[in-house]
Amino acid sequence: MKKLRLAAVGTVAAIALAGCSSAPDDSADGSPAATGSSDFLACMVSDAGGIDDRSFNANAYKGVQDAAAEFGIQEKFLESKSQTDYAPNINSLVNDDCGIIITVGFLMEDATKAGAKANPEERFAIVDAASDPDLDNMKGLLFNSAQSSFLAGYLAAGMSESGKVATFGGLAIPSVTSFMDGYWEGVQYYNQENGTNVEVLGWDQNKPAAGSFAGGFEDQAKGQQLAKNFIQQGADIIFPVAGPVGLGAAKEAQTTGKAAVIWVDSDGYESAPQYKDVFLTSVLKKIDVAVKDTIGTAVNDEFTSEEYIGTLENDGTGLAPFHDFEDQVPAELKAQLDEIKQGIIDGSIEVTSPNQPQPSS
Amino acid sequence: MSDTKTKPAEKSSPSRLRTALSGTAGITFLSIVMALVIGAFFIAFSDPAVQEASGYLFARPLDTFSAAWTAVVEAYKALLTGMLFDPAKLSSEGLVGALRPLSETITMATPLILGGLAVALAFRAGLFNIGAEGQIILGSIFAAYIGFAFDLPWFIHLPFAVLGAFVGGAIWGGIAGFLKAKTGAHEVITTIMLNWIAIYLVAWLLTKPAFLREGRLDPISPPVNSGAEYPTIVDQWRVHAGIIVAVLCAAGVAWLLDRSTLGFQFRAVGANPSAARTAGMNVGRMYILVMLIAGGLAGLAGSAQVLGTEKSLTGGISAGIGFDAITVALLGRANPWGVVAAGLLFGGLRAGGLNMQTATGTPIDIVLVIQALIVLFIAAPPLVRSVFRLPETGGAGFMQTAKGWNA
Amino acid sequence: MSVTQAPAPEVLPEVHIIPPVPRLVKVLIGLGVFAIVVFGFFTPTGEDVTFQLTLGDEALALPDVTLPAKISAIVFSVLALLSALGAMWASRKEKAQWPFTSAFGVFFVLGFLAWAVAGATINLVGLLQGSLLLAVPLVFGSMSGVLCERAGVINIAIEGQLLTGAFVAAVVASLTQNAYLGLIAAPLGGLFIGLLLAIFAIKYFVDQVILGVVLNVLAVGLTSFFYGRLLAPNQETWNSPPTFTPVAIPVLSDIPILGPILFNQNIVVYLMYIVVIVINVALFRTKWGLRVRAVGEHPTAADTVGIKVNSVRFRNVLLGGMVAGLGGAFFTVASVGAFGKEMTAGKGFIALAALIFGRWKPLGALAAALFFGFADNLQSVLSIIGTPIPSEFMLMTPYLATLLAVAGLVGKVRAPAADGIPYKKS
Repeated sequence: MKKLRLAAVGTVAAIALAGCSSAPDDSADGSPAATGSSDFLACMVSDAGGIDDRSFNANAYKGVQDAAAEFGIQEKFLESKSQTDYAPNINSLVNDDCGIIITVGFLMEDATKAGAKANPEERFAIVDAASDPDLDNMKGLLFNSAQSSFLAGYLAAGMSESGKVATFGGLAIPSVTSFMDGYWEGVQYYNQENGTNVEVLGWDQNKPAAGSFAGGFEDQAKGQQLAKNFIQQGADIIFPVAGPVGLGAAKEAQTTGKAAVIWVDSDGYESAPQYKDVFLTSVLKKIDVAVKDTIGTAVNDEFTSEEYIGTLENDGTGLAPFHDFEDQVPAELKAQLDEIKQGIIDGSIEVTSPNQPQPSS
Repeated sequence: MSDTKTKPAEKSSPSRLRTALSGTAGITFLSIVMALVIGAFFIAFSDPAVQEASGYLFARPLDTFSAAWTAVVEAYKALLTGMLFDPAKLSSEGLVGALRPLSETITMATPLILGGLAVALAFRAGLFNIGAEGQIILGSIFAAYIGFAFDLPWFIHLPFAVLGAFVGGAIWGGIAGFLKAKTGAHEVITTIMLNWIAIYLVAWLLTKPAFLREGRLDPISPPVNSGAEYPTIVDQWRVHAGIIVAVLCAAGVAWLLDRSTLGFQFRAVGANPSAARTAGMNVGRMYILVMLIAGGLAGLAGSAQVLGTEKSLTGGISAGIGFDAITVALLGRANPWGVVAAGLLFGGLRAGGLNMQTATGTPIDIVLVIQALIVLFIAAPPLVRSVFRLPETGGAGFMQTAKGWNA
Repeated sequence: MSVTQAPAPEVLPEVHIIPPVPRLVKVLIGLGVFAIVVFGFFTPTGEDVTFQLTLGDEALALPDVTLPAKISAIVFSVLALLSALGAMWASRKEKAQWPFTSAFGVFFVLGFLAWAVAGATINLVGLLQGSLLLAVPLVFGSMSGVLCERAGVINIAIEGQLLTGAFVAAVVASLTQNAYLGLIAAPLGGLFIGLLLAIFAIKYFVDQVILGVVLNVLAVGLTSFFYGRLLAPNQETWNSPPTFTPVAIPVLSDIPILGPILFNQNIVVYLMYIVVIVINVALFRTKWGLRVRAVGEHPTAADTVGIKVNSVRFRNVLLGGMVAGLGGAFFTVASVGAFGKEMTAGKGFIALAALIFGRWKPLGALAAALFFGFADNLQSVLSIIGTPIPSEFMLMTPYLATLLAVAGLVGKVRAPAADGIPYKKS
């Protein structure tokens, strides 16, 4: 690592002399990458966050790359600068003869549907939006993250020493608030089962108009500010549902040493290792796996428009390992979490969040 | 490339060409060339192939330069085909396919022209309207609500929604004008603040059931009814009747400024507010009026978004158009027809920039850099003249009529 | 700078801006009445409000203060109204108003908190400490504005200067793995934009408002382009800078309440104190400051006494760019580290508002920046405690406050007379 940096410094010095170069470019770039031998092309349009958002664009793109590696196909992505770019980007991918086009987010839903309608022979899959019964070439990939967040809330309540746990979101959209709802419900369930009174700061499922939000998914300083305020208000476990904004919260937790963080989407222990010592666990939303599997069906000509909903039952969402906290989480609590997981799967425990994905009828 | 053609021509040509290049149109053209040349350096610098070749720069320098040349030529070729005409599509999809880039350019240009007019008009009255972004949002809110909440025959519905967009934008612009007239609050500050307020206002509205799709909590409004949509011109293209509205507005603004009494008063206030006051004009009233109209024009840009391309109201509906509109207005020298031309150029850069990303992976942000550089150079004709060793024609440039905060 | 130049004449010193007294006082009285009505009537009876005065790790632990919410809301509101009336008295007697207006601010905020926090606990020290931190880039940005505009060059490009400063700080700190080097390099980023501003405004007489807007676009375009091409794909090498952690100043940081707020911060905050003090002293107490103000107010007169107007302006614009660039470092090496696209998120424009709100004076701009920082952090804290106000409106507050402040409180402020007008020697 150190060597790499020195090399980079050396290269910069070389730039100063030669005026043209920079550090070695070792990772994915915008240009179409020929990773495989098959001429099947898997394509993706990102939203304004770009595939380097370390959040859901990045996770979806990871699925595309994994698919390229596993099935020996080629991949390509286009970034949208603003929402006006969605339709043109989708159109240009259609012209590129993509075998499947992956899009992300409810904002791209209309543009994706329009693309699917105009190009019935092209296959589409969209993350965080439902399938459309009228379209047999668009597959919705949804995740019931309220279920796994319920477990996270129960865990947080069980681990909190101050009796206050916190959560905040990026924006108040269902794909975010479903996490916050589940977390809140998990804490309430813990209180009900154990006769405690653990408080949730930043969100109340019954008062969705209020709540703590960063106002977006980019401003890490905002995450740090929110975490600072949560800690000062006495919270000792924070669950940021805001992509990279959460890194600011992890930073604050690490600097002050006064809180643990539950990470979101991917296993933070691996995706943000610089903060691994503060991650109690992560609520996984396995977008990459769903995207990869969907591309697989397209490669093998088994693509259907049938909606996919990631749940605890099919392991599309769940809790990551505790890693460094393995020894600190009491065995009894672990056992309870397993029971609750079974309870949610068999329906004996009901997650009531209104923000859970509504399967299209 | 245009730059390689003009340079030799210019050297061997009679001085008439040099004088022409030194004029307004010539400076504009040369500014674009200079911006593209500088943009080329960035493209070359950051190209992975160039970076690789530069690793052995001293061993085989030619590799680096040829890689850089290829990167730049490929990128700008993609920019151009994405702006105007794609010959590769001619055989498979015919003229409709080959001309699709041009149709995209016009589609992207439509809101830019309307937004640019909003900035330009205010500018002529001495006001700096940085608030087009917020005015577009308000226009979009009104247009969208009228579009999806009513069900009317199209010949009533479309004009109603378009009018709503105008009114929405006018309200937002009017607030800034009113504050300027009544309290002296500087419009640069108030319009910047109003932009932010509009962003959160639309975010809040998109949590209210009245603005959401049935059974959904996602912050996106129902699509507008087909009666309120701008009709399209060719089925396979996205170009819509909004461009007609934009051109009509340009004509209207041109008429207003050059032929009407009100326009004369706007220009008088813009040239010298205290002299206008002495001459008996109600300067405050002029500020309010011009901001109402300017805001309305920006609101129409919102209608191009909601009724033309996007069809639904979302938090990001303004898409930075209000900020690009400022550069469009400046490039167009605050002249209505200049704004149309500038809007088409920047619309083309937006459309071409997307194609450049598709074809070569060059980040779209380079377009922003090129846009800023173009305006920067146009603002300083002496700089351009000295770079190309052109004769001085004298006279201050349009953007050199600098005024202070206190004006 | 050469000391042999003739001293500026006495007629030019201290820009005396006559505050629009009656309006300010009227607005304050109106707000006071509003406070009594709204906070008094709408605070639920029977609820308590608890103010925490420590962060929990201080040597001297102050007890929490618990007050009945409704009564304290009424009492604070009445005190706020009395302070407003005091300000009216002061303005009649031509005495200093600021003690009354400050008291008004404190009581008004306490009354508001009693209403908004009723039934919960709020950590006042934390609230203020966070506010100060959020004000840091605003302060640096507005100081950049002071330096440029006092010399007669409008600086709308603060946003761009902050952004390039943040970018350069992140890249340099990342490549060298040294946050201090990042901090030292940050002014170069701001300097780049400052240089363009100086050249185009002073040499080519380009309208400075236009110029600032365009330079902001350029800064966004350049930083986003390099972010996409270099930083994002090579995160480890190019965009993982180390960061500063808070350093407690011995003794001073042990002062109850003020200690943790002012003296347990990171190095950039301490630099901010220095920058503000130096600029304020230099501008009003040195010959250099006299020249700068002369150039900004009356360049022709300054020229006749031998001041090189355009070189003073050039130097100040470059200096301003560097100060804003330094403030940009706050976004990266002094907070979360990594650079992000457009991460300054409009803070430069708020800094501009603070400059105008503060009437082009360093201390005024500082006060305004602190106010905006407070509004921002208050929003965040209240969203945590849970208020009846929708989060979108809370996020809107700082901008709404600025709008009302600029329109209502400040009104038509007077900029340096030659601000924005290029100087052409005839």
